[in-house]
Amino acid sequence: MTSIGGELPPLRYVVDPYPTFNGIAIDAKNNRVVMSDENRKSVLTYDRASGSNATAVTSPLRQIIGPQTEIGYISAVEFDPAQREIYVVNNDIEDRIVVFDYGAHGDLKPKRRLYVPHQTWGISLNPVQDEIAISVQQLSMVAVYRREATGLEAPLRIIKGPHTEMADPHGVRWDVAHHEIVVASHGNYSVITPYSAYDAEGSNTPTSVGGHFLLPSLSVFEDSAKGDARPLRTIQGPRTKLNWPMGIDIDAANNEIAVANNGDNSVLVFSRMADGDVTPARVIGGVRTGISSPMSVAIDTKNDELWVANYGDHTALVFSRTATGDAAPKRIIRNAPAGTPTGGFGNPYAVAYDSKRDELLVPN
Amino acid sequence: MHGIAYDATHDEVIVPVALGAAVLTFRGGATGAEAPIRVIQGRKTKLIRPHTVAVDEQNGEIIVADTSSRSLLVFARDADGDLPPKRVIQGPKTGLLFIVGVAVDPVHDRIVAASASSIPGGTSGLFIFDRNDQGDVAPRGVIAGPQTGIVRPWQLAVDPSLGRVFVAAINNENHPPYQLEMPRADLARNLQLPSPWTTGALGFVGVWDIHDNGDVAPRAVIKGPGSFLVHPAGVAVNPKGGEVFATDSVRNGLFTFLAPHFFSKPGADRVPIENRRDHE
Repeated sequence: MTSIGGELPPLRYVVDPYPTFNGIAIDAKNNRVVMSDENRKSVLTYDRASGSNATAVTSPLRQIIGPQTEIGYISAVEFDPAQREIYVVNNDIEDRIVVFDYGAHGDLKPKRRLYVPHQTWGISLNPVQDEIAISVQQLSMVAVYRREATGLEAPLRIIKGPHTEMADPHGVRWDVAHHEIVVASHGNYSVITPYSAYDAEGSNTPTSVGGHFLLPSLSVFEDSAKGDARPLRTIQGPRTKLNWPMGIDIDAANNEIAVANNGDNSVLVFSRMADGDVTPARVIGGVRTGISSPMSVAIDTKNDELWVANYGDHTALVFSRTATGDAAPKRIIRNAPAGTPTGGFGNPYAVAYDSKRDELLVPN
Repeated sequence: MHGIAYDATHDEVIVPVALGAAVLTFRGGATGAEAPIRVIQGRKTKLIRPHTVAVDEQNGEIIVADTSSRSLLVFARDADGDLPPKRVIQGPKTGLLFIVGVAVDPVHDRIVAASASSIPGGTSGLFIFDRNDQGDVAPRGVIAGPQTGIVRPWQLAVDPSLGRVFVAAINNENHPPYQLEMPRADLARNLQLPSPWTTGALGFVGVWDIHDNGDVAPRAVIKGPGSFLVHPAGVAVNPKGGEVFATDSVRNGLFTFLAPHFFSKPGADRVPIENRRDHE
């Protein structure tokens, strides 16, 4: 049978040619900022002092991009200033963390790779203990590995179970000074069973424990916690304004936690010791801020600045560390000319046609 | 989310929430943080990791493909809360494993599932069931094999008026290194797994007849560098406008193809497009 069709060119397409920022990390000592780019599947490193109020694209110092990099559906990034290494987390496809040297640029193989569970999102380094912590969305779990773990090396310990109260965790941050790990959860909770094409069906039919939608939260654990550990403190409730909390950072010097609050285009700052249904100490949000679908934040205590990586706009924003309300950013890093719209796609795996409105619906 | 369905009759949008073991229904045109109008969730639903959904507007049903329970679960369209499915297709006879696509054809009374298996003896392809099947039943037809070109199927769409099944064959090679929270025991510790983006076969959108069975080539395809498709995962159709829509995660984009000949009546569809143009 001869198939009809063939190499049809698309009549229309929606593809964003520019990067979109997602994860962010700062190395104030070496004056570097690194951000992940989910759209073009790359990692961009900037000078810490870069950015301005101009409308032009900000030039990165380096960009890691290409098929050899093993960078794909990317989420968080992390710096290791002592080793001068960049950690890059792939979230929903590649199931691996890849590590590059500071000087990496272009299409090159990673220095090392660590395979991780599917839907790993966040990462945080503890340079004192030489360990990294990651968050895993679909397992509602935090796993801790050796810093130099490679290949299929198993985690040293995991925090997982109903008592942890984690539910679809994203941002994770190791508070090295206080021996704690903070985790931001969206609130989607279920207990899955093996599901992949490589998992043979067991003799028993898997049973459902029933899914739940919990309120989004910030959970604080002892950094030695393992198993079904209860959090030391939990920030959760309507007063918190938490709404799809993504990346987080901790200011141990000033005892604060900053959260990229994706659901309402804001950054929330809580007291580090806050617990329960508490109001944030500060909220940065409003038209002047330029915050649009923020994915991650980074606090630079050395230079008293707070960085925000936007996904809904082709920008990263630099605020005063103590900014509050509808404050304008001090400077802006642009990965596309000002005003360039974003496609908004993040790993589009489905589409539906709304015949009533002649619209296409694409879930991320 | 890896699935979505639009119900034109009731102007509603249905999405699965894999991480909350739920199926949500929104009003059509919903925007922002608008709440769903119905939520199927809870222990009785048997939902564990609902991956994708289809809606049968004619018979008032929602069909859910669950990757963890390896099952197709059928709910009433207006189901709301913690309630059991009306029917479940599940078990070794079904051949279903990693079910990532589902579509329903109420005209020909068929449910089509896209399922992948990488275990010995398993089958990756399209599994076609009677719409009212339930329990551990063998499919009426299985479209799989080298002639199909399907290495790894993903989302499905159906044009019920003609009984056409549209398949996004993502076709990339994806070997998960973990089983849930631990590294897979069957993998060598020093193994280097392929990158899902740079390996596998080139993906395509393929079209089959709902009555096709076995190792049969697609009746129509959209494929190749000129199509921009590398590993397409999503597919939807607008039969009235002759349009095929596809999403591609490598491109991180959405593509619209004008292919009215894909929606022509039986009898004309076997003619290659080049010849069709000659006669037009």
